[in-house]
Amino acid sequence: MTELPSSNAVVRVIGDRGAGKTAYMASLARWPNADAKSPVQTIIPIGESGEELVAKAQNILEQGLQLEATRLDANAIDVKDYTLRITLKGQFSWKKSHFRIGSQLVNLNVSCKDYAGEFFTDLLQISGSSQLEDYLEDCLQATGIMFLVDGNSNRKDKEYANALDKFLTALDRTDISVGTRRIALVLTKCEQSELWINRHKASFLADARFPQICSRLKSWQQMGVGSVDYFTCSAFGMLGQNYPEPNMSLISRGPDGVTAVIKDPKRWRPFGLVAPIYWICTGDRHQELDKD
Amino acid sequence: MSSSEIKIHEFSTGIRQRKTDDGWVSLGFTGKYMNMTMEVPEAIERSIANREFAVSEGSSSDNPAVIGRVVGTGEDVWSVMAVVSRGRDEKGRSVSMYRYFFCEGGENLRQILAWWENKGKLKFDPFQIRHIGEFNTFDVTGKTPIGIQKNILNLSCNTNEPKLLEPKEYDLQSTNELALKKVEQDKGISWAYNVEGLEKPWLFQVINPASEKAYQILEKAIKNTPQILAPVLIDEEAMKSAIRGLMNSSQVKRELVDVIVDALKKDTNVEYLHTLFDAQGAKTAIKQKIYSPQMVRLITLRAIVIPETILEFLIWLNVKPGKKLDENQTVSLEFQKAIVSDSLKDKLIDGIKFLLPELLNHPLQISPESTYWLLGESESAWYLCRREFIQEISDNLQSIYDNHKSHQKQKNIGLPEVLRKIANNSSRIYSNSSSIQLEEYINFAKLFSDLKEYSLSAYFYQISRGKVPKDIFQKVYLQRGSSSKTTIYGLKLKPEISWIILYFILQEVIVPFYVVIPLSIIFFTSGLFIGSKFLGQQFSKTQVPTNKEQSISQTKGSNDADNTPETIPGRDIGSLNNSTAKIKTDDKQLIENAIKEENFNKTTSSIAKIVSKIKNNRSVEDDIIINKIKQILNISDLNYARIDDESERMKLAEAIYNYQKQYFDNKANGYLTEGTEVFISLQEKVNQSLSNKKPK
Repeated sequence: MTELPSSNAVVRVIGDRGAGKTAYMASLARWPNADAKSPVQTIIPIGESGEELVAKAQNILEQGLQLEATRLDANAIDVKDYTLRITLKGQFSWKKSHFRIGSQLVNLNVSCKDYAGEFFTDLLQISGSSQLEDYLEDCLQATGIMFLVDGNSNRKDKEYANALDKFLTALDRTDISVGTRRIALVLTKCEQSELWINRHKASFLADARFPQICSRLKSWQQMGVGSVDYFTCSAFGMLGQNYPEPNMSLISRGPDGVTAVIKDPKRWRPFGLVAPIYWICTGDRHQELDKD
Repeated sequence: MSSSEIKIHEFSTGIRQRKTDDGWVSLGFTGKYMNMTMEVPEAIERSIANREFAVSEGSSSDNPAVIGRVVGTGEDVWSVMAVVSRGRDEKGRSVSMYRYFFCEGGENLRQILAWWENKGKLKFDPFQIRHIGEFNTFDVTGKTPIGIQKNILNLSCNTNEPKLLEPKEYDLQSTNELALKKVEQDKGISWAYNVEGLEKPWLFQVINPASEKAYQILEKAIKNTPQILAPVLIDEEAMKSAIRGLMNSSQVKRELVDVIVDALKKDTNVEYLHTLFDAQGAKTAIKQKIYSPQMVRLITLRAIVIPETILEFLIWLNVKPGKKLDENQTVSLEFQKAIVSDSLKDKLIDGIKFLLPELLNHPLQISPESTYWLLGESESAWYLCRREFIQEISDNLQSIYDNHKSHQKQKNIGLPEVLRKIANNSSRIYSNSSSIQLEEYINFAKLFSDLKEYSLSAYFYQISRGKVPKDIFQKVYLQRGSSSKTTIYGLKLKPEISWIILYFILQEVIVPFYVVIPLSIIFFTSGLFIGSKFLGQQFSKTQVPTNKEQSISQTKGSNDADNTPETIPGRDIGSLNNSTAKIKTDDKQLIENAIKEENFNKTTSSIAKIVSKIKNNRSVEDDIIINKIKQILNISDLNYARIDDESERMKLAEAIYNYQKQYFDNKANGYLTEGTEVFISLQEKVNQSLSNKKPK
């Protein structure tokens, strides 16, 4: 087997409790009912934690059940590190027109830790705690941060912007070797109709619903320490082509967000999951993945 | 508290909670325990971390599951019972909540159970606040276990597998009693009651499923028990965390290395270690060629911890001769440099031992250059054992010769397999060294040439090609000083003749002029003849990479006037950086001075004096005394029988120098003089140590 061109990324997934972080990871690892037209060729979970993700997807999500809340590990070193290899069909990159891959495949190797939501909601509030420092130390390994926000939780914009502010400040103070990072703001649960209709205008949608988060991210980007981009996704996806409806059974809906389970596991096809990872790996947006 | 009372402690999963009309909801985990009546003992904490109490996700029911287990070893043993019930968070998600009860000692599960049932089967409740010191007490006098279903003890359960009970057949006390009966050596008492699913069902003796469906799930899970389970003394999760921590960071945390080194000292077998690395994706990374920095570090770590994998590591990393280091190799070297420590030395040496037969027998898979990449790059972890490796080969070649000399062909001298063929052919090798061509050893010749161990290189050229390339020969010559001997480990070196060689020979041996001219003509013509016949085809094969050569003048000055024909390779002073002998550049001069004939003779005669003085007073063998001296000077690897070899002289001089520095600071010169303070101190120490331990 010859070695294919590949890009690597070390990612930390952060966000509120119930934002859909574990569901995102499990759906990505499971990659159910893949579309033959999708630029994604395969997704292979690597090692036992990758397999555990798939088991979660099969035993819980696919049974129409809800995932349990992810436990907050006492030490960041105990947090499961999910490793995935994503193989994409080749594409033409307009940004780097010399970098033509043609029909060749491209590999993305991602190592990804799904932090319990408590990291974002609680730990960041207690400055100077050894647990927080331990997690921040772990975050320094990351080349990319995926900040997952339930697209329906717009009432929490200010709260999230404050927590994000604390995160970025703390990270800045922990990092002595100023490396550049990519932060992807990913709006989850975009199968909800008001989000779905704008799913291809991620930046617009983010700005409209979470103006304070976006303004904080923009000023961070202006400091020159990294770049920011915006994405939409759904771990559950839609049902139907012409009259699509969300593939979910609603458990609760409020201004703080949505909780739901998969309605029809047989037709479960998530969307938008790979685009932020491709961007974190390469720094480019993938035209085809964005059309997902 | 009376003596018949036992203390029952407790703690629970830590959450932030909010009261609701029908109880409470969780607002999130704290990552710590709460409602503790004492600090959680480490043995219990590690058992929980190893998922020994964990029910599988989504499987806790309203009717709590109960897990009983005895944890810990030696004095530190605890009876622990976990009650697992389902809670909810404010978003409506289900969460498994654990409340643990525990008691010191391994015989108290029955008591904890009796107390718990007595107390109305307490389960997780964040509002039942407990504080340190507020433990429960239970009077155990006169209480016998009640309500045991006698027929449970008649159940057959002699297999090593967990006993899976029929759902709802047996109660909790009976489940515990069956586990007590079924105590196995490698699994302490352990049972699970009313469970829907368990993360590691194979870690239980008796499992009592909550339902028929649970029975089926558990039965399937037991059938899928991993082939290789963690050895009893291994803290598997700590090992996994350590491996994960090391592969994920470019900075190596020493405490993580220590976790691995400690585990390696215990009962770990290779198959088990493989499961740990495969759990992090090692097998897939090799198969799918996944070269992320994490995977490069993982496979590098595996090559250190599991020496058998070193070849796979080199092939995977694609170390090729003459190529610039690629990104992955750089990541690997950086990691090796950061992780290397003496505690890993044995493993590193083993790795080289695994590689040598491959180098000999599978030259297409592995080249001398990639072996050099391990032993010659100072950033490489394996560089640490370079000296031992060279010494071992050198000692073995010496043994082969010694054995040959003493005609003890049958004697087993514990040779490594890779040198067996030399031993088997020793009579031919030593009678006519140019007649033998053990071609496979050419890779050793190249490797030692890269390592600048030219004597060893020459030896292997001689036995693989029947002659030594002229540049190697010259280097041997320069390295060994002005000795005219061209014999190494009893093997006569036959150089490829050229005018330069002739010059060296003639410079040393005073030859009458009338001999020089005809000799030159003979050499020249025969050289032309041989050259025209063989050189074209042979030299291209035997050519040695010269790009790594450097000046070897620093070892040039030695004067080997001894009659013993053997030498071992001269050592580069700059590479003498093992833990015992670190010589500063400024002090090199002193060492060189100490090994000069006139000074070194003082050392050897001083040692002879010490030996004879001691033998006057007690009956003891010479070599026992020499061994004591070696021990005191901290040079266990010195071969005193070959003290005329430059390398051994150097070792001894350095050791004396270090000894002098340590005890007589200002007078360090690297050699011994009879009657001096140093001499007397050494003699006294030998005497003392012989008195402490009666010689055989």
